[in-house]
Amino acid sequence: MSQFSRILMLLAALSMSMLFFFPLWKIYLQAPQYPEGLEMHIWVNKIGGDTEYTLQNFNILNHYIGMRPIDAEAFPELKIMPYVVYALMLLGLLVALLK
Amino acid sequence: MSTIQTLKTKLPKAALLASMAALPFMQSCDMGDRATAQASMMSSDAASKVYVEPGKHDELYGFLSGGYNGQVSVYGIPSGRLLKIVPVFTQHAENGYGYSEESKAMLNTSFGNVPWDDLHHPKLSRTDGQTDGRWLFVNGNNTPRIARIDLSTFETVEILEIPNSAGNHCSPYPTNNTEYVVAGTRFSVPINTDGTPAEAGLDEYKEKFRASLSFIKVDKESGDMNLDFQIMMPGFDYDLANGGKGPSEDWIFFTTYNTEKAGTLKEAGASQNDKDFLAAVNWKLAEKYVKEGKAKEMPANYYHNKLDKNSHIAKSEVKKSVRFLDPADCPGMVYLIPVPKSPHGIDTDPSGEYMVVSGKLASVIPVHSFSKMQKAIKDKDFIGDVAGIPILRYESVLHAEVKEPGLGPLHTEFDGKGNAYTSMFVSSEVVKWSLKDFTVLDRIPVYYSVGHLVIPGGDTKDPYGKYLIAMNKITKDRYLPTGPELAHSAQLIDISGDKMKLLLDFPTVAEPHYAQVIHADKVAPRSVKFYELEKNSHPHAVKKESEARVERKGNVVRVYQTAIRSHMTPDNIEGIHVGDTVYFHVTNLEQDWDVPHGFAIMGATNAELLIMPGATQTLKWVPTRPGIFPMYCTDFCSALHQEMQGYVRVSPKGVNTPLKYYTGEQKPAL
Repeated sequence: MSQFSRILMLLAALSMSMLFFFPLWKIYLQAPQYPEGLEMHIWVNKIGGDTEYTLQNFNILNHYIGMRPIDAEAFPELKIMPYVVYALMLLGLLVALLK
Repeated sequence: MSTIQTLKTKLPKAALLASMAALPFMQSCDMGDRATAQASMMSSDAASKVYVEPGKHDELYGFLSGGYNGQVSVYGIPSGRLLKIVPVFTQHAENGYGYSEESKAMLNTSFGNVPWDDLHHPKLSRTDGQTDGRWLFVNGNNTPRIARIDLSTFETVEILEIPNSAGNHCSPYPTNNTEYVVAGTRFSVPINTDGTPAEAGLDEYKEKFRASLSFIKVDKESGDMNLDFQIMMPGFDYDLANGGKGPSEDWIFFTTYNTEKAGTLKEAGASQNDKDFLAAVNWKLAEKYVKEGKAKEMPANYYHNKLDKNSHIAKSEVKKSVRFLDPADCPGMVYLIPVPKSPHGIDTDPSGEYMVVSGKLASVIPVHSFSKMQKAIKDKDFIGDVAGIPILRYESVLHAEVKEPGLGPLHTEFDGKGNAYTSMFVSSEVVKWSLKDFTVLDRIPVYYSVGHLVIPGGDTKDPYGKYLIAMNKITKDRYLPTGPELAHSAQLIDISGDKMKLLLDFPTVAEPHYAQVIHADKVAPRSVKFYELEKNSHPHAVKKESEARVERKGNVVRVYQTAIRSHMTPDNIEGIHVGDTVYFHVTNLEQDWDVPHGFAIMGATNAELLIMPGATQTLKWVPTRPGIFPMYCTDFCSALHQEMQGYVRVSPKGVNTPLKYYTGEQKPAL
């Protein structure tokens, strides 16, 4: 592997750590009585929002249409995914650094 | 008091009578011209100047006192839109203030729970002589009290009772950095400094009646008030006050009437002397005397009520002593400055050099000079004394007199551009005059009988000379009639140009006396959207539906209830009996902006609760008969608000109905 490819590999592996600093997925909801909007953030390891109460407010609105409350505890993915990301990063680092 | 006698140039009664008789004539002359006068006074584009587009915010907040409703009304200025009513000294069934178990203590006084007062003067807290948007202080005139409203929540958070006072009118005036808020006595009363009940014959007014000026220390961080000391003064009527600024910032000034010490028919008895006094108090020196131990301690009995920020519970503390200074022992602390008879407002200009005193019956507006006052004190230019308080010579302190200002001057505010504006009660007008040559520049009619007027920051170092609001006592034909009781009115006047222009006329709630106006950006950014449930330290709060429950101890039943869109938990309760006292501790679990829940139950003899998100409020309920009692949310909270309801079953005494409660599914009783 060329030096250039190794650096790219290293950057790619490290860039996955961004998953712990930024949400994976942002869901925006708009409604007339929410002029400021409601913004749910799904992270690799948690569910959050633009405020710490976003999830509660999503759930309150969802229950009018019969949806079950969204509960972070009910998603095993949020517990498993960080390890998957760690493993991918480790693999990437190994590929980049081992000759 | 011989000095007062010498001051007395006996005004021929005939002259006074003649001038009074001329009033109706002058006013009737006005009548015919009124429509024309008003048309010419109206700004041609007035509508666009007060039009705030739907969804846009006003430039300023206006805090208008409610007078005899004991509340403060909050208006958007310039639109004149009513934003909120803040209950202060008066129970407010609308949200449970003064009725809920948490807020009852706020109205405690040494006389008992006093659920009403007469609220006159709002004053904003200040930093460096300018409004800082943190707190609003207001006075209760009838049962002497000072309250503090927190402008991050627009709630009354503290009420301090004032001992040794009656008719707490010249209050609550702050110093430049809100070091102190002062409160003075309008009704002098006998005061026994040994704390024994002070009772005297009403004909002993001259000998036994006295007044106190209270200095309330305000904590820089928390805003908490503490009655630091009082100054015992001669038994005059202390009417209004204002603090100095800049060179005069160590001083605070009080107008007094009834220097004659009349105890009855004051309208005549208190108008005998040609001159009454302005009392100038050096509060810095007073503070120093207190620190040096010159103050004497006396027994007292007064209440201090404070709202806890996290539990939202008001608690009362009873204070048992107060310290006071006697001016006779404190040289240089108090001086009396003669002013034309029966003065009302005392207003200091933004520079702090001029003290403007409005005499209700005076034909001129005297403007006293602070530097001349300092010189007169230095030169000992005294004409006598009252109880050891030196009286300065009128001519030595006087800087100028504003001639022919109008009839019945009451209050003055400033625009920061070298002009003063005085309200004229009798001639129903606002008069603009110059602080440079003290001549009248302009006048504008108001409808009718203006009391106070306000300019944003017009009482501070930094006025915003764009608007003036005149608050009028009489409206008569100004609005659609509403029976014998009519609204009072406020008139918004554009003072940005040479000529005053009437922009808007809006009805007000009860009777505004004074008001404060402040730029919205000093207040709005700090406005709280909801209370954090996590910080709720109420002992009966429940933070999760799973913790909601009903507990009985003897005949006291506590319902630990939660409210969240769109149900209450529990919403079915059985096992309450006639003879029980039930406390509904309702916690609003919402953590979102503008989602209060209400709580009401049939037959409750107090009020409803309005519970803000994250807070807990308690309604006491004593059912008097068996039956099924509906309870429900009163604040339209959501699409299924109408379904947010439940039942309480009340069984006859002695019938064994087991305690049971649930929402949806039944839960086992504790």
